[in-house]
Amino acid sequence: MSLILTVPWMAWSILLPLGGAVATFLSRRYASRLTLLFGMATAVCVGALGWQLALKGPQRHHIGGWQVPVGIDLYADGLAVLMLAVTALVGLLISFYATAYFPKAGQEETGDQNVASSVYFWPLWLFLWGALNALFLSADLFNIYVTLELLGLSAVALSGLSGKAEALSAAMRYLFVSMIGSLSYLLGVALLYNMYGVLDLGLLASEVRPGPTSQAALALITVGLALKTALFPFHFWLPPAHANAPAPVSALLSALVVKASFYLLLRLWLGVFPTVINTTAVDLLGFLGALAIIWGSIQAFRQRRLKLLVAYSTVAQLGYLFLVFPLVLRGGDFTAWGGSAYLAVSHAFAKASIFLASGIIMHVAGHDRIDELAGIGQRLPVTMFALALAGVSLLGLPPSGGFIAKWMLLNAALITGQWWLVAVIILGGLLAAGYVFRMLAHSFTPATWISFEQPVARRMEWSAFALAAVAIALGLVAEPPLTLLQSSTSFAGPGLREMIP
Amino acid sequence: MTAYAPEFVPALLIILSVCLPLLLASALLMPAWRSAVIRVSPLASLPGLLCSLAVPNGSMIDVPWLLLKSRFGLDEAASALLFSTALIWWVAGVSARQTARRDSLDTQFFAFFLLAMSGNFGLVLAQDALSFYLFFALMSLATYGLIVHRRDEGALWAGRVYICLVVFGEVALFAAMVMLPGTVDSPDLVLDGKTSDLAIALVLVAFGVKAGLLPVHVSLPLIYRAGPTSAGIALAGAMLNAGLLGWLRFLPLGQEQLMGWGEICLLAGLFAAFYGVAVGLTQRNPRVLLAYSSISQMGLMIIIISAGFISPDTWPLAQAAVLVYAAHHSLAKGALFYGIGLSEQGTTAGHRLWKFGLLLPALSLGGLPLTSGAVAKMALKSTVHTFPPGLQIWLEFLLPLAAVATTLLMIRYLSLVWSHDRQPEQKSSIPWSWIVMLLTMTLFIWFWPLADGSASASLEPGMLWNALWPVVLAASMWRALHGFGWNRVMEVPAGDLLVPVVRIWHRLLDLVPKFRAPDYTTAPRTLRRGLRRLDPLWDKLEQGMADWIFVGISYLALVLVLFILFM
Amino acid sequence: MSNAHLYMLGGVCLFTLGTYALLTKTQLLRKILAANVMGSGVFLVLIAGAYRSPSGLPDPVPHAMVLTGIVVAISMTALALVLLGRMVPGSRKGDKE
Repeated sequence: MSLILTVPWMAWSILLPLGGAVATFLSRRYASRLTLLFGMATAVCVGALGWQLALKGPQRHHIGGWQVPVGIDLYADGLAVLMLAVTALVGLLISFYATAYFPKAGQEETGDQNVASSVYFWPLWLFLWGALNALFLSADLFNIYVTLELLGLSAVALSGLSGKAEALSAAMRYLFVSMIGSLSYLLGVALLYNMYGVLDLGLLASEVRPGPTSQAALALITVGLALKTALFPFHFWLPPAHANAPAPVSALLSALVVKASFYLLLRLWLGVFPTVINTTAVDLLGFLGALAIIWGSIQAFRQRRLKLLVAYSTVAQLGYLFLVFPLVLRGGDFTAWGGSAYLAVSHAFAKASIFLASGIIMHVAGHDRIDELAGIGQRLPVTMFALALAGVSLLGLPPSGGFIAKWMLLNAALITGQWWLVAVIILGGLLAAGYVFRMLAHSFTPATWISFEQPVARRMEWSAFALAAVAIALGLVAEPPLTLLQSSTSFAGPGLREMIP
Repeated sequence: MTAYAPEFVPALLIILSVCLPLLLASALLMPAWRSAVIRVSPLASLPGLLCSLAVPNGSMIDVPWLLLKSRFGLDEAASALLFSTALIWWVAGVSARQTARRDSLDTQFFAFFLLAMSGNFGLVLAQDALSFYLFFALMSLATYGLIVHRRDEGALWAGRVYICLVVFGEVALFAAMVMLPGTVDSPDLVLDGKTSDLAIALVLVAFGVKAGLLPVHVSLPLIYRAGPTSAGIALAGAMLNAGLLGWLRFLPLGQEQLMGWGEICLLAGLFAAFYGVAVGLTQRNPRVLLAYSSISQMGLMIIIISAGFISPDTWPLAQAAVLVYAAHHSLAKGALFYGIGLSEQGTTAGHRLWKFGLLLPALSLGGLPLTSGAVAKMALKSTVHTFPPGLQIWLEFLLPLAAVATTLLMIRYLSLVWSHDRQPEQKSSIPWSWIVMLLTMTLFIWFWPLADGSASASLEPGMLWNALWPVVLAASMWRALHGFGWNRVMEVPAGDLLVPVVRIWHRLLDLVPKFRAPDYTTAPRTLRRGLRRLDPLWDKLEQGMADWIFVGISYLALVLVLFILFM
Repeated sequence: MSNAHLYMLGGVCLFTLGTYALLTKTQLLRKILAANVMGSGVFLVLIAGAYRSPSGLPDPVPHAMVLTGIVVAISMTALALVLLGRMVPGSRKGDKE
């Protein structure tokens, strides 16, 4: 018992994946098994951290024993632990899928194009995992910059993994966007440090006051992170990058990576800069979010390739997350930010499942042109079922995590009397019905002949299914995760909700 | 009904009613278990049936971890509808097993079938708004799979119309639930405070999609025709009542007088009662005819519901009446639908038992004395005196006319079904599930406490005559009509209003130059094509946003705008 | 205006120049160089900030940040160059023909 309470699980949940990355890079033969091993160990750490949180409340850890302002702090509250847990669960299931997706190290002489990718997938993915965990736990502005860059590096490398021309040029674009984004962020940090002389988020929150420097810094940080989150109109890089990557990578990018920069925006706007932001600024972000919902949905509906459709749906779903800002600042409280965080969580599971399922369909059919997929449902019933379940969550139909989240957001919009947001949420749901139905339509189309003969590993189908099942379960069992979320506090000490005027 | 069952048995039965179909549906994922699951699937409704017989009214279980604290249990409305619902699903399951083709589509069909069943039981037992919504959605969506099961053009078109209306209904219901007072925070389904007019309208329309409310009834004839018999039995018998239950649960009935809504419901109900018969009489397909009969019968039930707005004080009486009517109607409709299925299968060819067995539910719907229909009509009549005197006179006059009309429609049904019947090719037998259903339908109402008053009242001599003359009049009218050559009358296309609406939609699309809409069976695809016409525009905009210059300008603009906004 | 402010302004100018070049230049190699210029601009802002400590001694934290930033910038550039190399056919050692 005392062991659980005293071990710095936060540090371990960062160190283990990073160590795993080195191990899988050195021992390519056992890379997939090592990934599962290190992944499970990380998941255990996250579980123990959750236990710590439940017993002792939000946790703070001074790296190397140095106190702030000299040292660097890690900080874990309900929101951070929930993100860590989602990363662990989604990551493990995707890893499990990837063990069947990528050819084994022993088969390298076949000359398959996937081979090069399989060699580097495992270390890069663990690297990404470590970066994600560090980002969620960091309580230091500069440390966050480092984690953002680590995340960007591994994400870009992963998205160009297949080595095909479209994938490489998409990765290149992603890299430039990532660079502009993180350098804008860093410039903002530099301005803030010059002004206040602190980097710790808690200290900064208590010192920050409105003024040109704070404004400029926050504007730079916001736009930098919005670029990385693919907020409309900065979404241009996301569909090609996500759609041209191998299936497990698409799932990781869409489910986890884009959520990380949004997580930072949420933390910074509501936890650190509540004195700087105002209602006009939040309305602007909410408005861009609304445009993202509409634009992403229309584009998703128009796509002829399944993976592009799914990628544009990510653009639309990310738009929902940004509605949190007008909702919270006008008094939406936990209903608003909890709903937004819950949407991020359930979307992570649903979208990972959909990308894994599209990977299976691509593997079996050899392409992902939607109009030529008639009859695939009879060939892959489990995959189709997973797609349908995940689609239900995307649509926000009950019972699903997406439903609970949209329910909360809608309630917040009604409580705060923001009718235009009510309209946007409902319209977004209807548009989503359009593209989800298009995604599923071919499972109900009769096939005159079935030409899909490629064998498919069972564990791939079941991984996709398990992810979709979790997205549904999040709607059935909503109390525990929401309670966990509610225990979030801002870095400054008082709860996030109390920070809001 | 035994009130002595141990505490945990009711709880177990309530849980099993919802979960057993779900468990069986998930067992279908295992290829090895599939045939066994399909064989036992009719039994999935058994816990529900036991629940309706053995669990006392007022038993509740709380499930705090589900959704935002759920509650399931039996109140008057739930226990009244649970019996007929469970029986209908059992019969539908038996019918589905008979017609199973033993191919890969079977698994899919039974998966949807069990999911819809679970949804139906769940919504009947749900005692909080969110659970009701959840199971209602589960049932609605799973039903899509039943409707399109045949995968022919009619089925796919019906499925499209249905899914559009369902999504529309779900959105309306969702909006209504957010607006209704007291549904968001409290787990109970108790409406407190004033309900806005918009919320009432949304609830009416949302459940009207299921319950065949004009003008959102258009999917009913299409889906009754498209699905296999078992789906039709479930749709006509059980799922129609789900819509009704939704109204009972979410409308502020018996709370305060809302004269305006009461009059709207009353007029809509009266209109539907006769409109359904009028359109139904022209039909050649008995399934479509039954759909219009359902629309007409639901009209009668809406009349009773209007009593809850007009004279809220006597609502408990009216609610009992509507529940009795609904239970009677669902069993009779289910039996009639099953009858069609049996004749199509050919198992009943020339069977006298079948021929005369069909008379029972048909005339029961018309309200022939001594049938469950007579009791239900009596219950309906007993609510008339709760209306203001001015309306009473009209109802006294119109309700018997409605009975005449219904009987006329049922005679038309019988003539259609009987004339389709062929000579026996081989020795055939009537499935005992149908006979059980007929017997239950006839007998249950006499043993049902809720219907006690109406049952004894319907046996009074004056009432017997009141129930008899519409049937006799209808029979003689039918002779006259038949002699007149009714069969030459033009058939109103199934989905009546839908046809001009779709036509107008295509006219509108035609207005767009260089664009001609094809046959209406591809309406949603034409929508997609309409969007495709805008393709160049979308592409141009999307490419424009991918341009680095644009990115740079919007980057700079956003930084500056945010900087200024923060002041 | 103090020296520190001048340097800071210079840093912001470098950053803006780099951003402009990254967005307008079409050649990928130039874009990569532009990103490095952007980074240098930010580093200059940071270093200039270290100067402002009242005791007259420079603040060591920005130095540490810039060192870390340089490491990150090098890794980013390396990744960008590898991607660029792969995009140009025949430029890799492993490519036959």
